[in-house]
Amino acid sequence: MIAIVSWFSGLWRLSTSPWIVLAAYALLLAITLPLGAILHRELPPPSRPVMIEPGAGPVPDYDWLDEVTAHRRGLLGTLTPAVIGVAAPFDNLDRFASARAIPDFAIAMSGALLIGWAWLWGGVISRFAGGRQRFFSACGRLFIPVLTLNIAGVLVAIAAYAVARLILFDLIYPLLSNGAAESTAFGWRVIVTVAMIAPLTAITLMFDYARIALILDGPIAVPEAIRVGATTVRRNAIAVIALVAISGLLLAGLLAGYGAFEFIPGGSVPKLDRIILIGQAYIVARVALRLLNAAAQVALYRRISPEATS
Amino acid sequence: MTLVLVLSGAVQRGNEAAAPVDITVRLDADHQRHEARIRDAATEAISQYSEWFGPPPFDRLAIATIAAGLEPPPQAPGQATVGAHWLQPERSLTLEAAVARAIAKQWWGVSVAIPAQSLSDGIAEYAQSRTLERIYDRRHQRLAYSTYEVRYFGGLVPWAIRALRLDRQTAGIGRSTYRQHPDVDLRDGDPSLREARSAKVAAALLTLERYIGWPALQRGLSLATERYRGRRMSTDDFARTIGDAADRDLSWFFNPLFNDLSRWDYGVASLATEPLRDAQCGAAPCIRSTIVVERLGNAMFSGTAHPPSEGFESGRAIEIEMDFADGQRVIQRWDGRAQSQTIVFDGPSPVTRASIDPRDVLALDLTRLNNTRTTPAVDSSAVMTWSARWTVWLQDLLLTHAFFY
Repeated sequence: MIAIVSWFSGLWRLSTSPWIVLAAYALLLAITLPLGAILHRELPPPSRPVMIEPGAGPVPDYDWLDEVTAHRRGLLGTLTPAVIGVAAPFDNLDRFASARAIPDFAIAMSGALLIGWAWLWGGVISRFAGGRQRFFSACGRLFIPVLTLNIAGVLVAIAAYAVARLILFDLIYPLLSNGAAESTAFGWRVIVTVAMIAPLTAITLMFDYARIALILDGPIAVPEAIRVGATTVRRNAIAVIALVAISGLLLAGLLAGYGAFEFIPGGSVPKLDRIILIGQAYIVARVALRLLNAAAQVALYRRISPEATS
Repeated sequence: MTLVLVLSGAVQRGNEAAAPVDITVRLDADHQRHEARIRDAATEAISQYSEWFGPPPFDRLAIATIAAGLEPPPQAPGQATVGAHWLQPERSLTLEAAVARAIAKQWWGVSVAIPAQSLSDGIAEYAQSRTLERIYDRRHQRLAYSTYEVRYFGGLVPWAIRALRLDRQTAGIGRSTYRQHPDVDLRDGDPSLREARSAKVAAALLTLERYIGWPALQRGLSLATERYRGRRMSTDDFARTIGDAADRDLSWFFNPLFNDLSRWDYGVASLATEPLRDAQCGAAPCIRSTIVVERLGNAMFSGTAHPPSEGFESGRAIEIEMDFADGQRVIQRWDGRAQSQTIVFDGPSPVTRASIDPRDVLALDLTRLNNTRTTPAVDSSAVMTWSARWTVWLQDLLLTHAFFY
C-alpha cells in the first residue's frame, strides 16, 4: 500500500515539474544527436530505386544495409536491422541479459551520460523532495558527491555482473541446457537470468536510495549514504520491490505501445517524420518513466526515512 | 522423453502424375504447434517442384523435425529432416525455407546423385527461394521472401521485424553469406563454408534466370532430372544440360563458376560532366559527359564463349544505362571483358545518372553500391530513416545502461 501511495505521490511530484523531463531528454539528445549525424554522413545513397507505397515511407532495403555494414566496425558496425522499431529496445535488453559486447563508443557515451546525470540528480531529487533551493544551484552543489556515488555504484554493479555472468551463464546454464529441448532451455534461461538480475537490482536500489539520502539528509559522507541506502532497502524490501515492479510493468506497457504504433495500420512502413516522432516520443516516455521511478523513490524515502536511517 | 506426433495427409502431384503423395509428419514435442505450417510448406514445395523439375521421386514423404542447429542425417529417398525452433514467428518463413530446402534435396541429391555438394545445396537454395515467395504472397498478399527475423535470449526468443520484408533476389538466395565470403571456391570442401558455396550457386542460378529467362532455366532443370534420375550428375553434366535446354553455349558462364576461384564485380568508376568551349549542340552549348565503368573482379560476364577479335567486343551481357538531365535515357551494352570502358557523350544535356547492370541481372555481382553514380546526389530520405532509427537505438541503449546510476 505504501508503495502505491508513494508511486502516486511521485507521479504528482513529476507532473508539477514536467520541464525536468525535457531537461533530461535534452541532455540525452545532446550526447546522441552528434553521433547520429556522423553515422548519417557515413551512409552512401541507396543502390537501387527506393520503393515507396502510397502514403507510406521508404521500404528498408536489407541488401543495401548488409552491403554498407559488411566487415565494418564502429558506428556502422552497429547499424543492423535490430535498430528498427521495438526491436531496438529488445536488442538492448538482450545485450544486457546475454552479456553481448557493448560498442566502445557506447561505453564512452554512457560515461558522458553518467556525468550528466550526476549533475542533474542533485537538482532533480531536491525538487522532487519539495526543496526550496534553486535547481541549478542544487545540481552544482551536490555534483561531486553524487558523481562519486554513481561511479561506485556502477563499479560494484559491473563486478557483480561479471561474477554472476561467469557463474550462471558460463558454468551453470550450459550444464542445465546441454541437450535439452528449446522449451526446457528457455525455462532454465529465465531462471538463470532472474538469478543474475536480482542481485544487480538490489545493488542498484541500494545506490538509488543512497543517492536520495546523500542529497536529502544534508552533508553526509558517501559510505554513510551507502549504509543508509542498504538499510532502507533491507528494512522496506516489499515496498521497494513493489515500486520496481510497477516501473517494470510500465516499461513493458511502453514497449507494447511502441510496438503497436511503429507501423501504419495495414503493415506499411511509416514515413521519416513518423519514425522520428514516434521514436523520440518513446525515448521521452522512457526518460519520464526513469524520473517517475526516482520521484516515487523520493516519496517512499520521505515516508520511511526516520525509520530507515536510524 | 521425447514426444512424437505423427500426422498424415496427401498432396496432388504435379501435372504429369495423378496419384497423390502421402505426407507423414513426425514432430518433435517442441515443434507440434508448427504442424500446419510444415504441411502447408511441404504441399506447396512438392506442387511447385513437380511442375518445375518433373514428377516427385517418391510416393510418400516422411518429414521429421529436429532441433535447429543440429546436423540432420543424410537425405534418404522419401525422407526429409528439418531443423526447427520451438518458437517461430508467423511472418518469418525460416521454418518453411527449411522444409522447402529439404524437399528440394529429394530431386537434387537423392533422385539425381550429385557428388558436388555445393551444386545440390545451391539448387535446393534457389528452389526454396521461389517456393517461399509464393507462400509469403499467399499468406500476406505481398511479394516478398520472408520477414526479417532476429533472435534474442540465446537464440530462443524470435522477433519478426515487420518493416523489413526480405526479397527473394537477395535474402532468398543467401546473398549476405555470399558477400561475406567473396572468394569462396566451389571446389573447396571446407564444411564451414558450405552455406557460402550454396549461396554462390544459388546466385548463379538466379543470374541465369534473369539472363536466359525462367522458362529456359526451368527446361534445363527439368531436363537434368530427366537425364540423370538414378544416376550421378557432375557439374559439367549440369552445365551442358542447361546449355542444351537453352540452346546456347553457356560454358563462358559455368567454367569460371565451377572451375576457377571466380569473383564477379562491376561498377561505375566515375561520372563527370564539363562544358565544351566554343561548341554548340543545336541552340545550346555542348556539355561533355564522361562515364567510366570498370570490371573489379577477375571473372567476366560476357554473354558468349566466342573470344573478341580484331579489337571488336564479343558479347553484350552487361547493360549500362544513362539518364540525361532532359529526361532522355540511353542504354549501351558491353561485353564486360576489359578492365574498364569509357563512354563519352557530347550534347546539350549532361548525364545525371549512370548505372551498370541496372536490372540486377548479374546476381553474382558482389558489390551493388558501386553500380550507380548520380549527380547531383539523390534524395536521402531512405538513408535518413536509418540514421533516425539508429539514434533511437543508441538513446535506448544509454537509457538501459542508466539503470545503474
